[in-house]
Amino acid sequence: MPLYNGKAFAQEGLLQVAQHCAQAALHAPQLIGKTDIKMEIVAGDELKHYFRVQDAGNKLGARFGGEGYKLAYNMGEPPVLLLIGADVTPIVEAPCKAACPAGIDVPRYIRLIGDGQYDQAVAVVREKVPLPSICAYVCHAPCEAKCRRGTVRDKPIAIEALKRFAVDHADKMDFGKPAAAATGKRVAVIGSGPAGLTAAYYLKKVCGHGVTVFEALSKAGGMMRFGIPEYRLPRQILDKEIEAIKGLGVEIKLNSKQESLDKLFKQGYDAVFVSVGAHHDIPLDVSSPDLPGVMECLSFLRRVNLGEKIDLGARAAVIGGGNAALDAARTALRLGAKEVSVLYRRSRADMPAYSDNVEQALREGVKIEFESAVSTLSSKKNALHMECVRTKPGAAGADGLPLPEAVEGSQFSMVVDTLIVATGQSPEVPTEFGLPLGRDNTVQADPDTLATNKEGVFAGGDAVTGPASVIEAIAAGRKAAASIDRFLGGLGIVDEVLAPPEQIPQISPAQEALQQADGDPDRPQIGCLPVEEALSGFDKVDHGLAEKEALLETTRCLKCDQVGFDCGACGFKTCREAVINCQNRLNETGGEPWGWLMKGPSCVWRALELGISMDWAAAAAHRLNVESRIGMIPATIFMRMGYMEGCTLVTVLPLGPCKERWYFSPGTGREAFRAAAMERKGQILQYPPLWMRFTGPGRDIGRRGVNVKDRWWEPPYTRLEIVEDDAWGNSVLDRDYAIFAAADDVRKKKNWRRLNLPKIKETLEKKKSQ
Amino acid sequence: MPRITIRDWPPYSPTDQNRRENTVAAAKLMMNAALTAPSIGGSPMTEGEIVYGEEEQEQIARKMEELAYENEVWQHIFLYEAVMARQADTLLLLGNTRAYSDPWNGECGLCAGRPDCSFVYEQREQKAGIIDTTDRRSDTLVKGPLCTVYAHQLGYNVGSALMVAVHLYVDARPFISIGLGAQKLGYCRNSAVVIGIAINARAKCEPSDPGTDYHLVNLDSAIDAIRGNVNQLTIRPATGKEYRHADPAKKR
Repeated sequence: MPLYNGKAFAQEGLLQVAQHCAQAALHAPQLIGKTDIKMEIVAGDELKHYFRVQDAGNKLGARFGGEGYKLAYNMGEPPVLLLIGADVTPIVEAPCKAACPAGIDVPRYIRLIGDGQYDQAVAVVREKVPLPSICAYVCHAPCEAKCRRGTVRDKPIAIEALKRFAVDHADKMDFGKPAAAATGKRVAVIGSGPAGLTAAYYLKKVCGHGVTVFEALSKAGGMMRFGIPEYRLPRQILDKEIEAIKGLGVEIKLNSKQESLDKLFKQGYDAVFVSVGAHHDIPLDVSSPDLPGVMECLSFLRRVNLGEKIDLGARAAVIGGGNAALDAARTALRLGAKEVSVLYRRSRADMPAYSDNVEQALREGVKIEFESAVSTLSSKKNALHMECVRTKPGAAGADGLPLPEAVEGSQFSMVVDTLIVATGQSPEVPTEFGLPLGRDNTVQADPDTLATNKEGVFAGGDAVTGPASVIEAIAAGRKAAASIDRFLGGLGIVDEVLAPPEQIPQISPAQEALQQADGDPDRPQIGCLPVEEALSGFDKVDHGLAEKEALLETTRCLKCDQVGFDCGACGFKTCREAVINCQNRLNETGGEPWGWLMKGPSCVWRALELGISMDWAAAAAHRLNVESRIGMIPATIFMRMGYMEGCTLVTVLPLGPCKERWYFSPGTGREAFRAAAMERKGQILQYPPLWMRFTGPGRDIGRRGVNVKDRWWEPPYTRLEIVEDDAWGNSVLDRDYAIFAAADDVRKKKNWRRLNLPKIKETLEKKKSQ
Repeated sequence: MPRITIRDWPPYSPTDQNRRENTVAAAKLMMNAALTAPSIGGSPMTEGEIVYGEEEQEQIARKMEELAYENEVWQHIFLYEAVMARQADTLLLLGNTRAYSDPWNGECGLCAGRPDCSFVYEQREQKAGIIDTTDRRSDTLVKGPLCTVYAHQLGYNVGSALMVAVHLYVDARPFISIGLGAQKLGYCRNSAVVIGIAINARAKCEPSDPGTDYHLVNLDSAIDAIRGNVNQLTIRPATGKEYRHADPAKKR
């Protein structure tokens, strides 16, 4: 049996208590069920940072009479702290925006299209994506799957088509000049796919680092150029956006395959981003796959995209169910194959290819054999003989999907001239890189920072996730840029404000179009080239929307980002107004919510809901006979230090043996004002004298900066000093900055997301001069 | 003459009332727990009322239904929650008396205003920091801004009450809508933010597990529909064979 030995033993038990309290908070009843409770347990040395930050605040006129500051000194040791918090800002969240991996403000650009502001609509897209046109042409639109119009009413808004309409009709898509001053640091980006180009853009333009992109092939673009056929992504679009990024000063070195990361560091690069994509075909799992006429999908597409003419014969088959498989099938038709079949071992519902791509393939005449697999392959008389079998879902595999099982007696055979194998792709990472590899040769990286186990080396995109979408790779590029900037001593802030504040026109072009329309608009059918014409070349298949169609389509948007509960309890008439206020505050500080202590505006109902959870956590500690009390102000220091990322209201539940008096005698929260001498005498000043409460607009005098060294509570109250309003305000601002600066120092040490101190300082100075 | 209400269907029959009255006892204990919940600054600021009775609950439910048609956003929610207020055994209302008139003064910024609570004060008539609460006009459902910290505090009170409900094994669920409806009728009249807790002691807890379109299809309306088709429930002469004769499982 372990000996009861002071702190360590107690702390171990308290950690379990903290977990128990966390469970209680998670299981507390909810009011609206939309408040995601977040919790963190802090113990041991972590707490020392807290005291340092708090001291910094105290030195600069922290005039809290509040329990928080007293609690800080009374916490004793070793308290275990449970932080419980949530984002309690009013909710007007559009599901489309939440579904976008890059977080594009979809409702905003739809609204701007409706107002006829196409340039601004594209600027909204560019705030999150540096490749807006590419994104508009090839994005698989996860936003449409979540569009509330589709989930609750009829059909989703044609978001992808609207985005394409905007980029096609925008007059100006100027990327501007690098906004940040040059830092003198250099970053090497390996791979010029969507992740690499995105990271290069942000590192150069927003962060000010020198960037060189190394591309192994003869042209830049990665999978966008060599994987996606031209009929889905016209090459002039791709070239234009790559040129724009080069125009910022990003150097792209072609035909320069990198074999060693150490060499790059020796060449003077301070960080490396590995975004090599997933360009390696996973071979077919049947005997003798190396027969003439068998091709690997990506090498086939690469050859076609490089302009090579390939003779496939009249009959072609593709094995696989992803986008690459369907792209290969549709490309085969364009190269002259008369019959093209796709064999996929699962059902259509399980097919990883985008439904739009599947429909287009079927329309163009591709025959898809679902639940079919190849069992043997042989070559006779210049033709490939495939013995195939029907499959059915079997037991679940490692990825949760049922593994296909052969159906007995369902054999059938096919004879083709060419077989294209598209059974999967994996990254090809040189072993000399020395990076840890996981499943299917993917690079293992921290999911939050994309840092690998090698210092200064980051990895993202398909190289980490395996084959995924362009928009996911772009999101990874953004994340990597922020991490690399932090690593190089920057703040890691890559957000840009490119669109001006919205101005609501008297009557918008969309409303005019709606007035002239017959009845309510329906989701438009997007026109496509006739099949014969489409198959005769590599032109873009769909036309996109006409202006009238686009304007009408914007009127179908339910404006989810503007409609909330609208109860008025927070002081704003609508939730939307409250959120705009919140966004303005974010802009003031470049990302960090403007903080007195916590981050408003708040939805009172969500704050209340968090209170229920907090209370259940405290009650759980109580049931376990562990002393605790709920604190608010200490939690704000932890928020500044980077704990509870994303929360706007955090409370703290210190747990542990009571060294000092945590449970104050009933008071007002102004205990710090109480003189020690008074306590010794047993005199307790419960409330400030009544006359003081009546002085000053809106708040009692005690809080307004009374110099506590003067014993103002003693009659005849002659030495009372009141700090002038402005001076008091400035003192609070200075204190806040001191807390921010000290907290940022902690973040720097922990390598967490940094605060935008210059921007905060700028705002503070502005506030002081107002 | 006193008001005499007659119903031919007895949810409030003497035996049913015995069950319901036990939930009143639970509500009283829950109220005590709410009062002893952790309190910001240790200041008293909690107000509570227990609503029990067919007529009283009906009034609150109807007020909620009236509010429901004021805004499409909350219409559906308020409608089915009104049924829950009507069917609950007891309602416990908890409010915070300081959120409107006496903000925390903690320099917190949760309301988005300056750290001197001026966001609240500037939107009220006040003199020397004392807010005039007599102007109760409002064009929003709740007259804001309220002190967010005190609303958060009400969460502690509600949480403690619910914790006691768990320990007493009565079903309880907090509602924004019941609080709002009751507050408009004058319950918890000193509070600007009120939460209603529906307390039930039944085999099935409807508030935890409501069906779709609960305001139309619920236990009461289902029973009432059956009672409406009373002809189908009358005993009719059996005309066919006695059922056991046709039992195929029975070998002869």
